Amino acid sequence: MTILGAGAIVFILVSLNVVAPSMDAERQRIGEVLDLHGSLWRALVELKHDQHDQLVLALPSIRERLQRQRSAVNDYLAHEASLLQNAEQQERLKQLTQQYERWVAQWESIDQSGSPEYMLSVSEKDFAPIQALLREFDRRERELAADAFALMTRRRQLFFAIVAAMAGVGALTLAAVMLSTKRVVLDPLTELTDSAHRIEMGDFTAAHQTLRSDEIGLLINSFAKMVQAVQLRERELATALGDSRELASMTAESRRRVEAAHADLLATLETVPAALMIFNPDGSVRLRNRAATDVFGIEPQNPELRKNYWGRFKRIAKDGTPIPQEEWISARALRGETARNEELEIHHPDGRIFPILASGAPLRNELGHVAGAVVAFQDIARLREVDRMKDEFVSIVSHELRTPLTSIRGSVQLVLDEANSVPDPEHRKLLQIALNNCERLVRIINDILDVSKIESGNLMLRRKAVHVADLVRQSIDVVVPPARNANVRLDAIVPANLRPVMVDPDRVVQALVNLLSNAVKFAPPGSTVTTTVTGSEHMVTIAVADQGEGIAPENLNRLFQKFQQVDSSSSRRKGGTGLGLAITKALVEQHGGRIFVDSELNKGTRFSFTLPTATTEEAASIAPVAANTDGSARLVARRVLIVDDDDDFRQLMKTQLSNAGYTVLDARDAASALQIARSALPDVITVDLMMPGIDGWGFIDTLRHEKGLTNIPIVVVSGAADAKKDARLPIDVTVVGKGEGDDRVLREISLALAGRRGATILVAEDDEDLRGVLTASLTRNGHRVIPARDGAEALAAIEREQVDLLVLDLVMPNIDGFEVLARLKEMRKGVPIPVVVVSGTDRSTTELQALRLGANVYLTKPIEAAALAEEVARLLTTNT
Amino acid sequence: MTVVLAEDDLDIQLVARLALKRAGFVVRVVGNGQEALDAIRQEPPDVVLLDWMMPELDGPETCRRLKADPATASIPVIFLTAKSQESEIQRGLSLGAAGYVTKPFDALTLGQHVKDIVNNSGGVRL
Repeated sequence: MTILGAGAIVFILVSLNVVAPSMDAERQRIGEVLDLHGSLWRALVELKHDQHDQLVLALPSIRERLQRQRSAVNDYLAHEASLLQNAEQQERLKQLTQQYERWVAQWESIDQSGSPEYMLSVSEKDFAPIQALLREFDRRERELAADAFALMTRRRQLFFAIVAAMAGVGALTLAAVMLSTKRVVLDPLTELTDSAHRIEMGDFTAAHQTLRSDEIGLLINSFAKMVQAVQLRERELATALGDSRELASMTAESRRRVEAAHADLLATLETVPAALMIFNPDGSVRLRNRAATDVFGIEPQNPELRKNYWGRFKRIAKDGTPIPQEEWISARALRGETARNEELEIHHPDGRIFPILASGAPLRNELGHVAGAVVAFQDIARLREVDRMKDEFVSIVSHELRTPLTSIRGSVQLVLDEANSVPDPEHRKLLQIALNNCERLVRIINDILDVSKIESGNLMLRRKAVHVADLVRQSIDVVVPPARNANVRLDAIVPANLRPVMVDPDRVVQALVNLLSNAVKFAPPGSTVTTTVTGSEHMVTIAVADQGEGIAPENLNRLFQKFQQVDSSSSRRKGGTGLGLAITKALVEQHGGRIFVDSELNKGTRFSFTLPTATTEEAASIAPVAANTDGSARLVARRVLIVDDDDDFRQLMKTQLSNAGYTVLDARDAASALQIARSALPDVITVDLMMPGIDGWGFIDTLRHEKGLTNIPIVVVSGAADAKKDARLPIDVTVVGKGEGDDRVLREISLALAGRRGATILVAEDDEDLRGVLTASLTRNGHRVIPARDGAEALAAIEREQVDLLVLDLVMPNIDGFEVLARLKEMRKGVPIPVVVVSGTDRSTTELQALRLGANVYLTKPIEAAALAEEVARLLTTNT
Repeated sequence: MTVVLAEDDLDIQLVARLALKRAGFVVRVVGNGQEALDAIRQEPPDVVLLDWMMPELDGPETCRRLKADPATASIPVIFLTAKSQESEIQRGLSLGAAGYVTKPFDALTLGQHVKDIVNNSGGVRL
């Protein structure tokens, strides 16, 4: 019996020796492999992060970490390879390793100057297959492990069965032989049997170590060890089941990262001087920094109490009106609105007032829904105080400057104005310099005051409905004297039927005068500064254009800044303050308008600004504006200089021209005419040819060669019969015979004034004689003519160069006039070329067709040169 | 036309006096508001020019008293002001001033401006 019992025990021990060690090794290997997968996964993700970090921060520490991470991955891969037994898995690991090495190599070889977004996308794209491979590899390894485990379980069951059987036999034997040892052997064995059963049911707590050192103790210990191994494996299996657990560990890692970033952010926020609050969708505060707590304290958690709590902090808008709770920046941000730098006051329940500059924005989740709001604000009490002090300082200083300036300026004015008080011209000049600089100082002070007022928001507009024509007229009046001094012409045209504007007239005049005096300052002598007005229902645009040297594109954006002048030397030369345009812009914007500048070097500069129109009710109070017959009001009377030695004729012309609305200057000889031309800069000059002293030809020659006078249109009014064919006269001088009647002279003057000289006109006419006549007539009016023999040539010319106007015959070979019109309409959708149709065909049939195709004017042959000139002049002016 | 000019700055006094004299005014010059009130009550002028800031009695207060006294209420008052504050101008007009002249004024046209204001007497801005 004893032998039998001992034999049973030996059998058990042998079984254990056979089964347990091999199972242990396999379990350990599998556990290690699966562990490696987790480590490998994490190392790869870390590596990817490090690569991304490296994009943003090229720090040596990141580079080091990257290298460490890479060698870790390499170690894992090598270790894994040494552990694998399955050939299929070995092959898979090889693939994984290759893919990984390619990924790293690609990252290293990628152009680091590429955009981070691009590089990230590359990295992400090639990372995905590695992950997929690893996942597949891991899945397969688990399958293999499961197979191995199933095998182990079968062995275990077999083993338990033997143990149970042997225990049964042993129990009988021992009971019979040594009842005394029952307690010693049988009880533990019963216990062991019981445990084995429970373990089969999955209860591992049954296993325990005993302190017995005999064979049974050995048996129990071995059993416990085996159970532990199973338990460990079971746990590993449970941990490794699917990716979910892997992901859980990943999530923990990300959470750690997020929490660290969050802690950094909170610490940073505490040190920021601006107050910052993040709201939950229900309006409760999710996050706040110290600066916010300083103002608002901490609100109660209870939603009802919370509402009352916030309600005690009154928000007052800049205009002094309270802001209702639903219009608070936080409330608006939670509705999805963004607020930027809004100035308001928070009235604290304890009586403190915080003037703040606040911004707010919604926080959106990945679906784009508002998931909260961030509000940031800044206490601007000190800023306001400093601002107020600055304004006060400016105000006092300017006031203190005005008093001494008053005496200096007044004294010099009175001395200079007294006849013969300063006989020495040198002294007069010096006093004049003193006076000029007084004026300049006054302008600077006024400008600085205006800027200060605008910046402090103290510029109050006294708006009323006014006619733009009145504003333009007032402004022009101010710049007439400086324009005359600078030898610059002024022109201003305001169309009829403009809606009145709703503005502060003084301020708009100030803005317009600024632009006009700038234009006059920079316009070359003899050029014209033109004011034009266009309007729509809601706004009116006023533009001031000069023909000056223009502004380089790179300087345009600096133009409206304070104390900016494109060329500081020109600033001193032109006597500007560098504030005019900044003030003008602010004034326009205060009205709700906008200001624009277009400029071309050596061509000129054009400033334009918009103003809001008055509503019908607002405009009801003012009288309609007076307009002249052509529908638009010319606000500057044109000056005509009559040069004629015949007193009666001159007197007659003077009366007629005055009646026609011109300002008339006259001279009876060329010498005094030249003086007048230089000082008064007439818009047009009529000249008699036969005069004593310098004759008409000589006078015209002088005009044409004197800078500033070259471009003045000249009308020769001559009694000489052959004056029209006079070869000595420049080609662009119009000639009228004294016998042709007064109307003719008047018409030529108005044509000379209206006609833009130097336009490029395309004449498409197949009849050679007529083409010659048209060309000569247009050339005589100062235009450049491109002759074309048919429609094809005409279209080619239009393709080739800038054409200002087209004179077009309808019936031509190849491509006729109609087709030219049709093609033109297609070609020049945006900028139509004005077209004068000349046709021999009966009007009624073709006129409508031509006009429908885009012709502006229809003239029937025979063409009268004067009529053509008139239409050309009209079209060129209306299209400029 | 007679004018009482109240101005505490002696240099401006002289310039303004000469400028007004050239324009044909008979000018009496005083150095503050109180002296102006005395001079005006003694012999009412056609127009009064008041500097805004003066010692003892300033321009606005002088104007208020002139307008409060039926004997002097109808005399047009013109302020000399440094235009630093538009509120000043508004306040001056609300006190019953006929207009204002901004400093530094134009010595050659000061007289004409004063005449224009007196003729319009409706708060014309210069």
